[in-house]
Amino acid sequence: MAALSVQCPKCQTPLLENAINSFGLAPCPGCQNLLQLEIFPALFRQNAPAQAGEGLLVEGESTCFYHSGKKAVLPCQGCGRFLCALCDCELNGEHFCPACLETGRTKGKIKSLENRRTLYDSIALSLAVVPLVIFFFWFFTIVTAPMALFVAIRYWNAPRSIIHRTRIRYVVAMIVATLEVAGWGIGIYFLIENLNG
Amino acid sequence: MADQEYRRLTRSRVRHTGFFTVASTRSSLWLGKDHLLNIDSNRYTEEYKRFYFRDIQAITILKTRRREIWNFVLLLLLLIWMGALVDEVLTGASVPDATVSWGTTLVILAVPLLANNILGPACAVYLRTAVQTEVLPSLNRVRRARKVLDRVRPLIAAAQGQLTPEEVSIRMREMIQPSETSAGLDAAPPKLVVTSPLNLSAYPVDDQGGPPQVGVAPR
Repeated sequence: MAALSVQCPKCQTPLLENAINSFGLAPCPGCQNLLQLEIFPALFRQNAPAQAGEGLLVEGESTCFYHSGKKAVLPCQGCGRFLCALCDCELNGEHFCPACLETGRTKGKIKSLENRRTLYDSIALSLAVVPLVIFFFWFFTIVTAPMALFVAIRYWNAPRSIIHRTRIRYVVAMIVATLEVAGWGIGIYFLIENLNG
Repeated sequence: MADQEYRRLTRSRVRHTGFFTVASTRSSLWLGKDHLLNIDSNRYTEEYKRFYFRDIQAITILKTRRREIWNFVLLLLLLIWMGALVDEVLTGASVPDATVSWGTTLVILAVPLLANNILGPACAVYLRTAVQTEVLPSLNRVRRARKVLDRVRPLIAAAQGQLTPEEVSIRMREMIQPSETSAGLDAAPPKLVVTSPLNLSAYPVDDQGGPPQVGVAPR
């Protein structure tokens, strides 16, 4: 129960009632740092006890896919398998089996479980632009420009940032990288021409 | 559309992982339909943390001394530059270029000093759920933190309901009282009790490897 008490984030002193939901800064009784604390009803909410799943009573009843001795209570919304109360994982009102939950997390199929994205548009743009703007590194564009084009084309349809983002970075990266490749092509052509005569 | 899904609450701010931050991670806060989204980005990858309104237990705004520290640093630099400028004017008035460069630096230093004070007192914001307490680095000024809190409070209330101050104090007392009673018990920790596989009664033992001793009164 002690873990439930509200503490000062700095000195871990349990905070008194006058510091809570006061809508103003009040000193911490321990470290005297000014703080404002707002608590919400979730702090006092008791977690529902885990359900073990009801055993099979009647012959012919649907059983859980993972526990053949337990009664199925609902189907998984990912794979459709019947689940007992123990295997039922609720997520934002949807019910999944542990396997679908894990797959959804690793493959990004369940959006609310997605916790990481790679920004390929930023990578492509950096590959195209950064060697140009860093002094003395422009000659790296012979390598980075084709790489930028590859990344932009390969990941054109890949999910971008979870917040709104257009494809403008891909477009700019492709234009700049194409110009760089063209520049290198023309440069090499004239170099060979000059060497030949 | 993704742009309708999240609305920006704060601009991205550096998440300090130590005194010196070499590879900076920038953190920003977004408002979703039923949750707050914290995005930590290093420009090439983004990491997301969702805080559902129904799960938020507490939000703490802790005033820090960052503004005062920056004021001190910037003011010190400003005074040094100002001294150099005055010295330049007094001794080398014939070199206007140097005066201009000193003056420009002075203005460059004065702008962050001014901004640091206009933005108001600095703070650190902690968001607590049942499983974690997360720092929100994008809320680093008291004024901005309160603004965001004012915006989020009704949404949390809609998801969880609201407590009156009386209810809060009653529940807080309920919360503190059991922890006080358990604190008294913590002074004398109970002796280790092992139960035999035959499910006989429990006995306190001194030697965990030895057989249970019968006749020792449990504490």
